[in-house]
Amino acid sequence: MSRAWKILLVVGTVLCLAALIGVLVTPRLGGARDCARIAGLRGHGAGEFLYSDESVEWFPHHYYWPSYGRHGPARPMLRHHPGEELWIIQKPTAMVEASDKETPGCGQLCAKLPEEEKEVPLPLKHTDVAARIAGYIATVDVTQQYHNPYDTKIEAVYVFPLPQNAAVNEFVMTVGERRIRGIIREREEAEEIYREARRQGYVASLLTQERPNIFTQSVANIEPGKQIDINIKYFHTLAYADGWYEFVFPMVVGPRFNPPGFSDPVRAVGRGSPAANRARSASEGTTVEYLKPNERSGHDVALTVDIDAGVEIEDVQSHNHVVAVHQPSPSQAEVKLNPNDSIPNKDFVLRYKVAGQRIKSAFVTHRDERGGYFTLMVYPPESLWCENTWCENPFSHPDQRESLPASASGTETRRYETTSGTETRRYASLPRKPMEMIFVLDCSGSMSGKPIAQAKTAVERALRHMQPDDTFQIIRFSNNASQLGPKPIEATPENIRKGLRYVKSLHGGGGTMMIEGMKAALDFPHDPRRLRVVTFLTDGFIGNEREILGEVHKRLGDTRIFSFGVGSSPNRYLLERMAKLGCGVVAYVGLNDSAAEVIDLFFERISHPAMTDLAIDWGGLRVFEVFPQRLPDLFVGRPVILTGRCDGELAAPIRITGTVADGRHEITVPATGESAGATHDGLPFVWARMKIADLYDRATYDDNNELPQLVKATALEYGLMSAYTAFVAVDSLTRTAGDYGTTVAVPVPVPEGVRYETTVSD
Amino acid sequence: MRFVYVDVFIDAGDQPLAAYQFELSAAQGEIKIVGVEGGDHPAFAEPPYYDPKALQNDRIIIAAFDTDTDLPTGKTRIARVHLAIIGNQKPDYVVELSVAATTDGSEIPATTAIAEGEAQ
Repeated sequence: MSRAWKILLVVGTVLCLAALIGVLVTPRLGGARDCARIAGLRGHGAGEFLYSDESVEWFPHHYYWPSYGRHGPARPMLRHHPGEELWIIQKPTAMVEASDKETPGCGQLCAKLPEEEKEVPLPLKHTDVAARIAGYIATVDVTQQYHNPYDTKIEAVYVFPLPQNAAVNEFVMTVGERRIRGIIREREEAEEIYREARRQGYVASLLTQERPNIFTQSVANIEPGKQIDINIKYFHTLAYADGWYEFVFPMVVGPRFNPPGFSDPVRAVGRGSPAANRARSASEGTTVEYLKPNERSGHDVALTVDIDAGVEIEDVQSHNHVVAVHQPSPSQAEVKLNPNDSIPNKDFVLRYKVAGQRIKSAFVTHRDERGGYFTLMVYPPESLWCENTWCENPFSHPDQRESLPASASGTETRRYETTSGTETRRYASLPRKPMEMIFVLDCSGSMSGKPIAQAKTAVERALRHMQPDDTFQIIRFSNNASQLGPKPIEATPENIRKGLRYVKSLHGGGGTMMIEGMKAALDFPHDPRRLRVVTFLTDGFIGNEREILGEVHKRLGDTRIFSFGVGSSPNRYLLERMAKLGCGVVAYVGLNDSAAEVIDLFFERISHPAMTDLAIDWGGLRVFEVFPQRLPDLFVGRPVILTGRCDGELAAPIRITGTVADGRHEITVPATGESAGATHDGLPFVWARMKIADLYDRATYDDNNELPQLVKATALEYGLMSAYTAFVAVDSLTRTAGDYGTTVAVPVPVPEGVRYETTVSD
Repeated sequence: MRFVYVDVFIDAGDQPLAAYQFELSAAQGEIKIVGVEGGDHPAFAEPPYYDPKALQNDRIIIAAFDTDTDLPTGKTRIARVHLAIIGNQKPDYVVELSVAATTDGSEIPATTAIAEGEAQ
C-alpha cells in the first residue's frame, strides 16, 4: 500500500470516528454531515491547495509552501513525493448548515472528544467596553458584536448584566457602515414593533430590562456571514468605600433560583438541554442558557477604563482580572484588561485610591433647558473617627492586623497591613451599644465550593469580634431555614466555640429559599437593650428579588441590615437594595478577597456610631425631588450620594447636620472653590435613574398603582431604560428574504467559582 | 404595520450648515419613529438625536450640530428616519425646519425636502 493510501486510511478513520462522536455526543448540532467533505485532487475553495510535481509540505490551516525556499520553525507536516497521489480533506471553515430548529448546525463541535473542552459557535463574538470616569461619575460605552456563523438566517438573543444603577440612555445599531439610533418606547409597544419587523424580515433590535441589573438584547434577521453591532451607553455613579472608589462592570448573570410557582422567573438552563427546550415555550420570565463545564465560547471581552480623578491617584487595583495600568499624569490612569483574561465569567472590579487622608464631600451640578440637576456626595465627618495617620512599620504577614490597647485618652488604635504599607488608625472609643447579631448564611447549591468557604470564613471572623455583652445567632438557609438555636445566644467563649463548630459543619446544596432565611432572621424576638444587626451572606442568585425586598420592608422593625455579596458575580441589585432598606451598607467578598479583612472593616463600621437623622441646609438653593427620598445614615468610611433638581444659585455653603452618639455634628460643603464648580452633563440621567430606582423600590411594598406609571413617564421623558420602557431599532432599508429564521440564545459560562451541576437545570 | 424610511434634505444654499433641528409629522396617517440615521456628509454622518419627551406627544423632533470646518453647503441629506406606518392610510408627511444655522449661530434661510423609500 502506498503511503498516500495509508494516509487516506488514517484520515478517513479519524473522520469517521469524529463524525460518530459528533452524532452521539451532539446529535442536535448537526453530526456527521457537517464535519467534513472529501475534496478531490486539484480542488479549490475553503481547503484550497495547489498541486505540484515537486515535493510539497502540507500544513494545517491550508497554508502551502514548496519545500524549497521555506524559512522559519519546523511545523507538523505531511511530505508528498513525486508519483504519489495526494488527497486533501476539506474542513468547513465558516458556513455550516442548520440542523434543527433550536440551533443551526455547528460542525466545529464534531471533531472533538467528549472530555475535551469544546468551542461552541456563537452569534455573539465580542464585547468591547470603554469607560471614562470623571470625578465619581462613569460614562460607559458597550459594543456587542453579533454575527451569524451559520448558513441560515438567525435571531440572536443575549441575556446580560449591567450595573444596577446604570442609566442606559443610548442605543445604536450598526448594519454594515450604517448606524441607526434606537428609539425609547413603552415596552409593549417596542416589543410589538420588533416582532412585526422580525416577522417581515427587517433587520431589527430590541433591548429590554428584566431586572435593574439584567437585560435582554435581541437582534433579528442576521443573515449568514453578516455582522450587526449594538452600542449601548450609560452613566452611573461610583461606589466609594473605605478609601477606595470602585468601578464595576458585571460580565455574566449568575444562575438564579426561583421558588416554585413564581410567575416571573430568571431560569438557568443548560445549553441544548431539555430544560432549555421547555423554557422556550414558556410565555413568562427570562431564560439564561449556560455552557456545560466542557464547553467554551469564542465570546471575549475587551475593556478599558480611563480615569480622570482630578486629584492624584495613589493606587489602582483589580482583584478579579489582570490589567495593565498606565498613568499619563498623576491624576489620570488608563486601565486595560489583559487580552488573556477576557473570558466573561466574573465581575470586573476596579478600585482606585486618591491622594489625601480622606475625600471631601462634593457638589456637582448641571443645567440645561430642563433646569438644574445636582449630585451631592456626603462624606462622614471626621468626628466619627478621630485620627488617621500613616507609619512605616510593616508586618511580615500580608493579612496581619492587630488591635492595640485603648489609650488613656479614650481612643483605640488599630494597625493594618495594606498593599502600600502599614496604616495606623486611631479611633474614637465611644462605647458601642451591645449588639444582637444575626448571621444569615446562604447554603444553597450556587454557594457550594469556594463561595461558601469565603462566607464561612467571614462568619468565623465575625464571631471572634463578638464582645461579652453581645448576643448572636446563626441561621442557614437553602431549601429551608434552620439555625443554631431558638433564641439569641450570649457571646460567651463557650458559645462562640459552639457557633464556630456549627459554621464549620455547614455546606452548600439545594435551592435558595431566601424568604425562609429572611423570615427566620427578621421574626426573631428582639432584645431592645441591644442594637440588632442582621447580616446576610449570599451570592443573591435568586429570581424573586422584589418578593424578598417586600418582605424586608414588612418585617424590618428597628433592625439594621448589612449585606455581604459573596463570589465572583453576586447579584448586586438585591444586596444593595436589602442594605438600603435595612439602613445598613453592602460589602463584597470576592473569591480573591480576604474575607477576614472585609469583616474587620464591617466591625469597624458598626463599632462606631453612625450619623443619623440627617438634615440639609441647601445654602439658598431651591432644591426639590431629592433621591433617595429617605436620607440614609452615614457610616465610617461610607459616603452617601444624593441627587436632585435645583433652581437658583448656591449663595452659602451647604450644611449637613446629623446626630452622632455624643450630639449634633455638621458637615460643610463650600459654595465656592473647586468642589462647588464641578459639572457633568450626565447628571440629568443619573438623577432620572435614581428617581426610577426609588419609585421601583417603593413599588415592592407600596400598592400604589401610580408608581409604575411614574417610572414609565420618567424613563420616557429622559430616554432611559426601565422595566416599563425598551429601546427598539429597525433598519427599514434592509429586508431579508423569508421567515426570521432560527432563534439562537447566546449561552454564557457559569460564574467563576460556581458549579454548573448544582445550579443549572438540564 | 409596514416599515419605510424618509430621507430628509436641507438646502442651505452657499452657507455651511453646522446645526439643524426639524420636526417630522404626518398630516394624515399614523407614523411611529423606529430609528434614526445620519446623513451623507461626514459632518452629519453620526445618527442624530431625537427628543424623547416630544415622542410622548407623538412628535418627532430631530437635531444635530457639528463644529468642524468641513461642513456641507447646498442640498444635502442630513438624516434618514425609519418609520412604522400604522394602518393602511398613506401618510402625508410634513417636515418643519425649526432652525438651520452656521457655526457662529447665524440662522440660515434653508429649505427642506423629503423622500420616502421602502425596502423591496
